[in-house]
Amino acid sequence: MITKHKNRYILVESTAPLDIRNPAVSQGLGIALDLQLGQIGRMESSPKPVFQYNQHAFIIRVNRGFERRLMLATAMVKEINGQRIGLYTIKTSGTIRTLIEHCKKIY
Amino acid sequence: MEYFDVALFDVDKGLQARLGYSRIYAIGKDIALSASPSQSSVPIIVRSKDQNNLARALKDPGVVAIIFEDSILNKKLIGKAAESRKPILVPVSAMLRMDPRERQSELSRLRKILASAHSLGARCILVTLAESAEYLVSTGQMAEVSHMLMDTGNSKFVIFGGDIL
Repeated sequence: MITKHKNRYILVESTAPLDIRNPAVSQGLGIALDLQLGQIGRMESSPKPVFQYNQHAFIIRVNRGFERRLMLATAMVKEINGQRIGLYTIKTSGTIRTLIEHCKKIY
Repeated sequence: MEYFDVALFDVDKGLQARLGYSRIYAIGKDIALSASPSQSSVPIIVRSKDQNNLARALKDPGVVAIIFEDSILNKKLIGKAAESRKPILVPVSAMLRMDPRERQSELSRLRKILASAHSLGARCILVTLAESAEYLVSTGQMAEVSHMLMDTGNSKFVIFGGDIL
């Protein structure tokens, strides 16, 4: 039996503008998460920024079952590419669409 | 369950709601932070290294909660806090921004204190006590911090949530 790979999506708000479409910023975020999760944790959870809603809000995709670990890791990220930053996880969902709908309500 | 936090600055209402808190109390506006019990028009939180000072603060009716410093809190004081029904606030923002090695030792110290508090029936509440927006965390992140600090299944309800005042 082939089991479908499932993801969870986390809506993240940053205190400073963060453009995850910029490869340097996306890489900086990856390095910051690496420091907290470790390489094994990163491989297990496979976090990937997938959608930018506005300058301060973006969505990260993560393997299902590892979303809580990623939430803790984001709480410990205080610097990306030398810039002081705070990351808040606003909502977790199984689909990007739900998070975008939530963004429309709160921003 | 309603969630509350304490910060060293005034957090705007929109951000409070997005983070999932019913209210984030601002030190200096909603609550006073003092090293010893004193006269104040707003409720007081006493933060001190001195265990005797904290014990005295627990007897003062104007004091709503205590904060210990240097991760040192003796069992006698935890027992007194349990008797007085006043919460012990545990600031987490400093721990979250520590170097990973320092954080490990801080974590083990806090775990011991929280386990003692839990067994003695004292109420502990995690707060950020953030000095700027970078050090705030959402309720979801705070729940994960509480799970990290206590291995019990109901850690979220034991040490996270509930009003301070």
